[in-house]
Amino acid sequence: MVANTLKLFLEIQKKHFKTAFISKSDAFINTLLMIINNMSFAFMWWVLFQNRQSVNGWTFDEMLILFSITCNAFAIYALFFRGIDNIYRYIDSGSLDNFLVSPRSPLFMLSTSHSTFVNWGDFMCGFLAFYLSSYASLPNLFLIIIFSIYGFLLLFGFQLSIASVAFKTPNLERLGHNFLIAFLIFWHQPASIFVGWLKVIFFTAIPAGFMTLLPVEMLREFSWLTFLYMNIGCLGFFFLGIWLFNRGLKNYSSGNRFGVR
Amino acid sequence: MMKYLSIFLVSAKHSVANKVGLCGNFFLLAIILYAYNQLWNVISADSNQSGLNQIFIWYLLMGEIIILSSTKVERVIEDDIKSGTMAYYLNKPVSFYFMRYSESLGPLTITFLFLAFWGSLFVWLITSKIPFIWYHFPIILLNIYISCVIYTLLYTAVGFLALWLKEIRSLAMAVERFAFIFGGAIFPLTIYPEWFVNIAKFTPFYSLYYLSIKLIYDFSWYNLAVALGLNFMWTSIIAGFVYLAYRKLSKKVEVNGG
Repeated sequence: MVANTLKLFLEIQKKHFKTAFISKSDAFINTLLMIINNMSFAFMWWVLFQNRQSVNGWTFDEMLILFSITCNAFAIYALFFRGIDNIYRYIDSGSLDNFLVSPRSPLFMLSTSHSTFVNWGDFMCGFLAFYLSSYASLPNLFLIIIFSIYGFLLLFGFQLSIASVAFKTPNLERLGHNFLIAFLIFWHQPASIFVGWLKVIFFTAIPAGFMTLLPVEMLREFSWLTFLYMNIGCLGFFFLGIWLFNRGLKNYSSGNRFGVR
Repeated sequence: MMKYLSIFLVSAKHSVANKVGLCGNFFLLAIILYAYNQLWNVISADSNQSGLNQIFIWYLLMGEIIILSSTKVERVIEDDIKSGTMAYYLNKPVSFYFMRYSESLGPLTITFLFLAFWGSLFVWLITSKIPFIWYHFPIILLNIYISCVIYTLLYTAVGFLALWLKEIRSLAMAVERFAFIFGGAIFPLTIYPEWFVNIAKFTPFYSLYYLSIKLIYDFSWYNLAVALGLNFMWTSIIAGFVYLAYRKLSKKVEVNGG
């Protein structure tokens, strides 16, 4: 079962690759633009930290780590599971039926149905940011990979939880997109600026704190307790997303639009 | 002219009806303002410069209004070019380009008005101070609206690049990022190194963003005139490119037979 799913996953990814390479020059130009795009963002923070050496104890090194995890986590999401972005449209138009008739898990088929090749540029930037930081070392590289995977799980769970509201309320695409951007904005801030009740929001409504504050704390000084908190947060949101999706699916009315996937 | 005004009004009415979308935009604006207000608060406290956030949050509000009001017109034009939809409009008594442009100005205007009102109220509530003289505010807002209109024109130019590129999404994102750094839409250009500001001056983002939004804390009739003059120059350049691209596009569609 797992082997078959993995085989199918690889086949789908191969198809996405082939589609992206229909025009090789375009794929590379756009990937390059994505790298420039990410670098400009890092540059903006570099300028700020040139003016202020630290913000509540965070320096540009911590920002590079944050940047590395964000880029890698988003790359995993966008390259392999970006179909989640289209849930709103599928539900509103009734096209979700196409995925329901598949013998595979509808969530698996839906999430792997879309990929954006340009996000390979995110991976490059993610690892470059880590290499440029003072935290660069082999054991830390291992940790960054682990954190990036957890970051992906959190992002996936958060996006799926928000998208599942579309089962109840139509025309939520723009609002859902804004929630995702809000999440990414919180994810791109030095976690040290969030204090008091803002910290509560940072770990609940917009749970970016699990992937900003905790990983940096662990890179400074690894603690199993912090690792446990990260697990609870990221896996909690991941399973919450899946639970909400499955619950929403039970209420879904078919649009009678069958097709083959 | 009346037909484009009608298109503008219809798309504006659609936008007013989409209350969830408008509230979503305000929600995002509030999150951005709150997060950066927190950042500037910490920086103010660290550097013993009280009131830094009061200036920069108003500055950020103006920059974000331009970004959030802009519609995704480049994607519409890209779809029209790729799907060949635009061929259907070529024999209609409307210019395809002006139709799409006026259609995008409807939601832009409604979002601009909505964000300008609620955003200003929100910032005023969290900072309780204003860094400008109240009677300058309508002029500043009008200038920001002009920037929004030109920024959308820039995005139509990006949309026409679909003639040569298969995908323009990353390019549109890069344009937005350039607005962040060359236009100082997030952090003002005053904190950037001088060599970088000198480069930024040669981009449209310098006047569209920085010169226009810094009027919020540094208003003078001279600064306003410089911003408007440079914006006029960039409008001519962008409009020239759009005109040439549109001519090329019309010929291509003709060759392919629609």
